Amino acid sequence: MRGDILKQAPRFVLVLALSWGWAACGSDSTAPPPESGPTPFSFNLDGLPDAEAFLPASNPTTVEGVALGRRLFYDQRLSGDETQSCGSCHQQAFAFTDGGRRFSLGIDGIEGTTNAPAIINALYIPDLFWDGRSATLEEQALEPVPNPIEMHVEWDVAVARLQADEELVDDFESAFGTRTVTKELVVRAIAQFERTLVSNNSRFDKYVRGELELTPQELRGFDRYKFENEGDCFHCHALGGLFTHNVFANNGLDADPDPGRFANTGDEFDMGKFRAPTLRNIEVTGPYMHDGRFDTLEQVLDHYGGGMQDGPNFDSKLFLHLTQGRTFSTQAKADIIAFLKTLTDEEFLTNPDFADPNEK
Amino acid sequence: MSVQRVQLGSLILLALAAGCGSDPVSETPFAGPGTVRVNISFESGGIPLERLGPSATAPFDYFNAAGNNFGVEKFEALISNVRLVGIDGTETNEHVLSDAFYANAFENSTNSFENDEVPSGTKFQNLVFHWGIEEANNTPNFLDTSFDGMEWPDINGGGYHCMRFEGRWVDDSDTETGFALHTGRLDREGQVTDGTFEVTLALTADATNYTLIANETREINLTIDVQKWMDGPLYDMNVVLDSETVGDLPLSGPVMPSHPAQQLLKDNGVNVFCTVDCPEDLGGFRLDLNYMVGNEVLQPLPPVPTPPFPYTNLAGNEFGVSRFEYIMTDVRLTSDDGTSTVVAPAFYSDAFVGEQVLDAQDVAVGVYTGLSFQWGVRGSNNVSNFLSMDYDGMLWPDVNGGGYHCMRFEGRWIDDQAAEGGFALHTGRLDRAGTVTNGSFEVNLVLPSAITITDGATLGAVLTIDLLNWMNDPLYDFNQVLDSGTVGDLPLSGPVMPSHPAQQLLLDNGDDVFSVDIPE
Repeated sequence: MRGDILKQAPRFVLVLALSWGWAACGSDSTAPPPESGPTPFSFNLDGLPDAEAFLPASNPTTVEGVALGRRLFYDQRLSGDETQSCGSCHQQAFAFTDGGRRFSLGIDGIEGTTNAPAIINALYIPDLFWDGRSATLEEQALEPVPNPIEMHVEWDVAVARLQADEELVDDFESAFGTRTVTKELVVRAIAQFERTLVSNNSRFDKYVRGELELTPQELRGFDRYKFENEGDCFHCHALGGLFTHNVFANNGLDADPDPGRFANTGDEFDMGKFRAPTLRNIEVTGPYMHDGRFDTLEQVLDHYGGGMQDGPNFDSKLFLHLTQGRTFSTQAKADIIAFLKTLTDEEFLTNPDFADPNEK
Repeated sequence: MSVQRVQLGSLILLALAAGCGSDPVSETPFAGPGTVRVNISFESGGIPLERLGPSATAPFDYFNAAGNNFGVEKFEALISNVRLVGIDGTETNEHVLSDAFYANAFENSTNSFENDEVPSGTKFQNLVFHWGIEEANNTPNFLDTSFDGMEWPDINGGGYHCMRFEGRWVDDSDTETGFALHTGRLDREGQVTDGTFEVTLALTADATNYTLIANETREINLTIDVQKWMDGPLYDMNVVLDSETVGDLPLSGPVMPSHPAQQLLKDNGVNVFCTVDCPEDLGGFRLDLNYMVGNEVLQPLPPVPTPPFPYTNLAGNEFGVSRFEYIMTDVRLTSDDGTSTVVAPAFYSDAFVGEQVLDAQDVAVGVYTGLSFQWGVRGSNNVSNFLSMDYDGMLWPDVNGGGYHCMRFEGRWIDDQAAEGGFALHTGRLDRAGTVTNGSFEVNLVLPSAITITDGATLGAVLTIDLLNWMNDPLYDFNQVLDSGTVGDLPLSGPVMPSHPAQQLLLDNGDDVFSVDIPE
């Protein structure tokens, strides 16, 4: 059951009957002055849900922590041969995916097995990775560094390298009040930085705010997105805000699917289920699906329009569409894709605050 | 019922003291006395105490915090040295309201007493009394002979009972039996457990003082909540303890010779009394959700569903269920007098995820005979920002009218060509193409028997949702294709969100989907 599910405060301003509002965190001007220690970070979450429930008290986001996390996110000393950082496979210009690559290459030239997921509004994601195996961003960030097919370095080695950098140690002291570098502090800083990777200024956001008009085709695409008898996208990818419900589903990729969330939970009802990702910046996050099997959005729509296969835990609603023979016309696909491209947030993709601080 | 042998002396002292004006906490000149009246009322679990009927059988009206279901046949008690205390702790004889008072919840013509000679001008802060007779006076000849029934046997130490609290209850083996909680000053086997104690209560809600005005009558309403003799620390009448006098004794009684029972009851005493500071009376209500498909318990389709499917509706559609999630709002318990209390403003559940229960711990106490709720979200609340974002998965697209789904009911079925297909019955408020078909509706159910929510206890009911009844009357045939009124023909297997006739058919089926029961 759920507890109190009424919204508590008028934080959400209804616009166009979408779940869309102005978050309470507000602008920088609302940030309380620091009394001592690191300065609380002020999020701009316009149009996104209130983040209060998602920001962990155990790792408050601070200006100093974010700055440190940004340095570490792009720090190649976190890989065995010091050639890769988190940012190597999570590139800003591609909404923190791997630049069109299906499977990322680790430092030893070994391919991964899933497509590098985007890092967009990740502060709201309750279970990280395609299979949801990490409960927090901090926990997630622990994994790639020692992974033999990714950055492939023991944490002890990486931490020792960072500890030897006096300037970086100064930043640790500013952020956490200690000059002792630990892997726990490293991932806390990275997680803080990742929480600031907020995308909420796409053309669609501006349309919702009344700042511009979408084209007739884009609006047709939006209709198709939310029409149950057409695109019916919204049941997994929300009508606004995050553009995902953070659900796990089997969307019919294979009759004998990859285990997905089952590998994490062992629950047979999770077999074949993967996270339904946000569609924000979907234009630049291809290839698509957990295994990057589709290069284009047209291919994705062809999949949902007749290409799905029944299998374990195949979503009933998608099965309905499959058995009823839903397909997308060329026009329908063009409309939906035109709409999806309105979710591209150029400011997010180019925001210097998210970029590698070493590339000035 | 003035019972005191010593009252005369108090009155003489009162008359002597009234005119002296030397009370250090008096601010206004003496201008004649006022009246202070104490009215005792009795509750159990926050609701007025009702006497158990002469032929009453279980279930009884009340549940204590240990879950004992009980009814009350008798509640009588003695309180002594009832007085007003000044703001600086001053106590004088003229502020005594009663030396001793016998209260009887069911047999006294009145449980009020007063002193009409209380000096005015004094700032009072507390009502103080002794539960039972103070030790110094707790001898068998303190009260007149009409109260010999309240005497406490010499073998247990003599004096008087504090209370006699008796009734019936249902034990752990579901056997209806009696209880008798008698307290007093137990002095036996070399130890004393004195069930008497002093009680200090506020006179004003904000704990400030008040000044009695000449010729004024002030009423002090003293509430005794009998159930709170058992609620904390927990007093479970099923428990048997070493009495430390005569071996093991159950807490249901006899307890007069039981040191631990006397102590437990005394420890509960701090919560029994209140005046202006009575806590808001809230109890618990647990609504368990039960899902049926006709006579069968709802089970999810397996991960790899294969025909045959387990259920068949009246139209002959063989089907299985993979999802059933829904929103109810304004869930209430209702009373015969037309009043109601909110159990939950909104409730969401996925029938296949998590515990299926609505557990409310802050329900107003009372006697309730019905359960009502809105299936989906009602009227002007049915807008997309009504519920927290956790429920955005239940949003209903603005193109269809906005707000929230009432339910998402999905699965697989076999069509009349013997082919396997999916179905998705999603309902909400369809406002499209100039027509509104609102799948949200109010459900009013009569409880099979009245339930009494009492303070601190939790009662339960079971709401059964029969999914088959979404399709049986009027007949809902997945094979049927109808003009949706919005986007042309659509099959009843779905999509139905844009279909006015499908929404209407599901709405029309809703009246027999829900039923409520009270577990044994």
